Amino acid sequence: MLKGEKVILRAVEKDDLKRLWELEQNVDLLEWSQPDWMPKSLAAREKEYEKQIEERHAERIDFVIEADGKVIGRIGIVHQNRMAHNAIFGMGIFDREYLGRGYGRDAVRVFIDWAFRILNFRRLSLDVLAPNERAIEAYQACGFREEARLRQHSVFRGQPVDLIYMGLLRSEWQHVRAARP
Amino acid sequence: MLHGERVTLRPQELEDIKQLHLLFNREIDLVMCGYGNWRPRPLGVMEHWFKKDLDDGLQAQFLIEVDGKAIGEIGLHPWRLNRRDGTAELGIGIYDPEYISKGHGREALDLLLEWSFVNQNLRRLWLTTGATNERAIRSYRSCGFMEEGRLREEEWYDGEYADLVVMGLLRREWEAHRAAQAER
Repeated sequence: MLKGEKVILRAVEKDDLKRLWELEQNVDLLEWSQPDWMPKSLAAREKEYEKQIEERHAERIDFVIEADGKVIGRIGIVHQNRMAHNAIFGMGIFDREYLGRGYGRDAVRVFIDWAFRILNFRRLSLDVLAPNERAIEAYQACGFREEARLRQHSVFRGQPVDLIYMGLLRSEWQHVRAARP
Repeated sequence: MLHGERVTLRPQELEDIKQLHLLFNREIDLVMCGYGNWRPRPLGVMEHWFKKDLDDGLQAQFLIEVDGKAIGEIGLHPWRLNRRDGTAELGIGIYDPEYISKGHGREALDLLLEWSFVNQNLRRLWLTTGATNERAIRSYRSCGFMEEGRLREEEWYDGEYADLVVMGLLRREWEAHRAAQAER
């Protein structure tokens, strides 16, 4: 597992699925990262989980984010390009109690340190809905910068909104990391 | 089938894979073939993919035909077609060197845009291309696409890291662009 100041990142275990499924019912939190939320049964999630284990999907790497002994969100690589050494990741805190208190930021820091130091990526990127200012601020604090703005790319709460691509190069991460207290 | 002045777009059939395989494996311009994505592909593998897409129910890509001859392919990436948002990512490849820079790609793009916006009711089309592929970027601009950003050093291109350019086109922009061109 990976340890931050506030959070632990670890593999998703079968026993976590119930808790993750419960968090998934917080639609107003989920829709920031999944604007097309729709109901999925716990059984469907369990089946997906089994399938993922069987397929040994090398492309995805999933973590749960744990704080105070409970799962509060997830983070992980959703796509990777080993030739160009880059990866796209996603993150979400889905427990209301832990929002806006630096837990997501801590998780992102731990995650990117792992991706650069251990997995040897040289570039990380993500996409985020333009209205999600809290997330954008957290990513900027970790060193990410806006690289592209896909105009009206998504529909969020009934309105067309821009999708922002953010990126961080290894050289920039080294600077950010050296400047950390 | 979609007919332009010189170009026809029609669904790819299993028999077409032989021609695409030939185009892909003769003396090639790597930049034309997506550069980093290019690798030697046996005919059997390409036919297997075609059949697998059929089994998976994926929408077929268009073959670009000129004078009854396949010169490349074009289509919407099935994994990047989002019906809820009304968006899709498009891809095009002209693989026959004899048909480069002669406007056939541009014509194929115009046909695909019209089909996507008018027949498929999409609201936004987007694409990505290597920053070094200036010919392609010019062609997309002339169809109305606008650069929306650059993913820095996202690609490994001809021995160097290169930016990836993201371009987008909204339906209302395409309509205005087309009206302006018709006036000329």
